[in-house]
Order: sequence, then C-alpha cells, then structure tokens
Amino acid sequence: MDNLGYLFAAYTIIWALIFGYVFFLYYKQRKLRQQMDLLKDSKGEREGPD
Amino acid sequence: MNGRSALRHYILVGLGFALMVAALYMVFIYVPTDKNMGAVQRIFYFHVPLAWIAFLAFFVVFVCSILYLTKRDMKWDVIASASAEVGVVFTSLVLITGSIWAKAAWGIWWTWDARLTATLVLWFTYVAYLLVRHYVAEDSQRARLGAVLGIVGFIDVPIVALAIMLWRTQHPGALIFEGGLVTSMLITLLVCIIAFTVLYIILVVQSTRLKNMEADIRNIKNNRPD
Repeated sequence: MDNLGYLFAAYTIIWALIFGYVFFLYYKQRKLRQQMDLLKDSKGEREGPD
Repeated sequence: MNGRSALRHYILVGLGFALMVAALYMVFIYVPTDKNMGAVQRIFYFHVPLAWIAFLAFFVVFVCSILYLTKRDMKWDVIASASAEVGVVFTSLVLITGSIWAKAAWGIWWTWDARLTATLVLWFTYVAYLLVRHYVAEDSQRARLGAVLGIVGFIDVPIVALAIMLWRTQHPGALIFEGGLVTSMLITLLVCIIAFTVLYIILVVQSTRLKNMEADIRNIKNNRPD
C-alpha cells in the first residue's frame, strides 16, 4: 500500500499554500511601499523645495 | 530595514532554506519507508511539525494578548495578529494533510473524531479572530477585542493536544512519546520541526513588519492636514 498519489498531493498542497502566503506578503509589501512613496511625494510637494 | 536587521533577515532566510532542503532530503531519501503504511506515512514528517508549530503560534497569540491587555502596548497586538495569521495557514495545512492521510489510511476523507473536530474548531476560532480584526476599524478596540479572543481561543489548544488521551479516537496516539518511532524517524521529525520553527519565525517577522508599515501609513494619513 504505497498510495504515492496521496503523498504527492499532500506535499504539493503544503508548498502551494506556503508559497501562496509568501506571495501574499510580498504583494502586500509592494502595495504598502507604493502607498508610502505616494505619501512622501505628496508631503514633499506640499512643503516645497526649501 | 537597516543594514543589521537586513543581514539578520538574510541569515534567517538562508538558514530556513538550508533546513527545509535538509528536511526534504531526510523525508524522501534518508528515512526508511514504514512497513505498515508504505510511502504515504511520509506525510507524517510535515503533518506533525505543522501541528506543533500551529500550537506554538497560538501560544504566542495567547501570551501577546495578555501582554497587550496588561501593558496596552500596540507592539504586542501586532505580533499576536501576525502569529495568528501564520497559525491559521499552518492549521489549514494540518487539516488538509490530515484529511489526505486519513483517506489513504482509513479510506475516508473525514470523520467527526474528537481530535479532528477539535482541530476544526481551532481553525474556525482563529479565522474568526482574523475576521473580527479585519472588520473593526478603530485601533484600540480592535486590539482589545483581538486580545480577548486570543486568550479565550487558546482554551481549544490543550483540548486538541489531549483529545487522543481524553477520548477514544481514530487518530493515532502519541507515537513519539510511546517509543513507536525508530531513531532515523525521530531525527527526521526533529529536523522538520526545527525547519518549520525557522519558517514560522521568518513569516511572523515579515508579517509584523508589514503590519507596522500599515500602521505608519494610517498615522500619516490621519495626521495629514487636508
């Protein structure tokens, strides 16, 4: 009774979910960086060049 | 991220990667195939560490929730929510891999056994914790509610852990403590537990960093003169 299909399915799902979560964190980080840059730019514009 | 914390981060990620490669090597090449269950028993080496680290994650939520309620420092609330998030991911994997293993071993995907049901309740509890946090807008109210849920929710962790002793369950007993594993299986399990602990730390640190960044953005927006 080897059931290799089940073993393959289990490990595939483990890595898919972990990579999915890592990708979610990466995507969130990129979005937050963009927001932070926008806020910094708008602050810079308001304060002027001096 | 300053220079030193970036270096620490890269060292941790490198260590996590090396440990995970070692864990996979041991699971698929080093450890002998189980005589009774065959290759499918190899699910055990990731299923058990995932469950233990999920318990650890919810224990961190519990401790940080108490610390938040006593000190009222948002730092603890941020760590608690990051740990709960990772705990939910790991518990989801415990339920999925457990179900796949059950199908191979018992011929069914699911049974309302005490251990399985208590684990499902644990998953629902912390999904509810994350949903409550998502829908409460005010920072201190969200942290307070989250802390109460984080403390109450932890009650289910010892129930899950002790279910195999308290009730007659279909789930296998604590093989590790009953001496049911040969040395190579024990070593493999240990390496997998260390690898998943490092992965847990990396994910919580990263998630905490993002939650702090989110809070900074909220503060800048709230204090901005329109």
